[in-house]
Amino acid sequence: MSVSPATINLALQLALTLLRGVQNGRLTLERIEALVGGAQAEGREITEAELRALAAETDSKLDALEAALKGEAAAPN
Amino acid sequence: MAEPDLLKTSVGGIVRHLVTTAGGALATSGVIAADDVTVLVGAVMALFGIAWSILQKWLAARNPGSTTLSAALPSTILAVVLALAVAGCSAVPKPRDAKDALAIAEYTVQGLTDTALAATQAGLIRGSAASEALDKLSALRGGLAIARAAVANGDPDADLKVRALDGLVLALSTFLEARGVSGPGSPPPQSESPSQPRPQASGLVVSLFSGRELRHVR
Repeated sequence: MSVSPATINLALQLALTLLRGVQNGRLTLERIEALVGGAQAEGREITEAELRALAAETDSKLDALEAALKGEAAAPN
Repeated sequence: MAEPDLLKTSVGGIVRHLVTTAGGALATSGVIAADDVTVLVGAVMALFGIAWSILQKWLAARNPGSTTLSAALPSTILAVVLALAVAGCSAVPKPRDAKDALAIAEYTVQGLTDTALAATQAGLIRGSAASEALDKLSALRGGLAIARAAVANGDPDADLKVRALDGLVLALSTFLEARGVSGPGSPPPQSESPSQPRPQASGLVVSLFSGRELRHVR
């Protein structure tokens, strides 16, 4: 069985994406620990301002993903 | 997706379901704790990745003319990185209220979004798959808006509305998994029956991370 350069490239892209997934997972856990765990350690609730800032950050990332997906959806296969 | 990757995904999915089923049966009969089912599944899947890599290398050695790089390289890298990630990942605090749960859900969505964006930019999600992902993204945004409003307004059902995000995150995670991409999964559960193990959110990475979450959340 022979494998084309395009297939190898796809495999490498997949590997890199998986690595990013692992990094994102670790970062997610660290950030949850920092905010939620930090607030709990201080014996306080998460503030409205913290939640608003978090929501804005999420929306920004969702906007970026939506734009990228729209570009791919519109591109010819 | 290349044939070896597709094969690995298919076989891996079957193995995961078998282990999950067996783990659920063991938890129900009290042999192991429900918390440990996800950890067990994650561990078995990590071993599966390593075994798959070894198999590919063995096959390549027997057939020098063939190339199995597309299967062997990702699985080898993944196995090493997963081992490092699991060894170092931190505990997730148990949510005390809807605000905590929403914060955890926001972070989880962010992590998943980052992974999905990387996959899209790498060309792993294209055409009709991108359209399908957009639909799931739209649903996720709707769920987030409802959960945020409920928490902000002190809705007595805010907790339930935040937990409803689990399903929407799961939909996007499963979609990514079907394309060989794993990312941070659904938020940790706030309350579940101990006899019912949590379903796997997405792939190897999430299995392992979810295992860590469940261990500390419950």
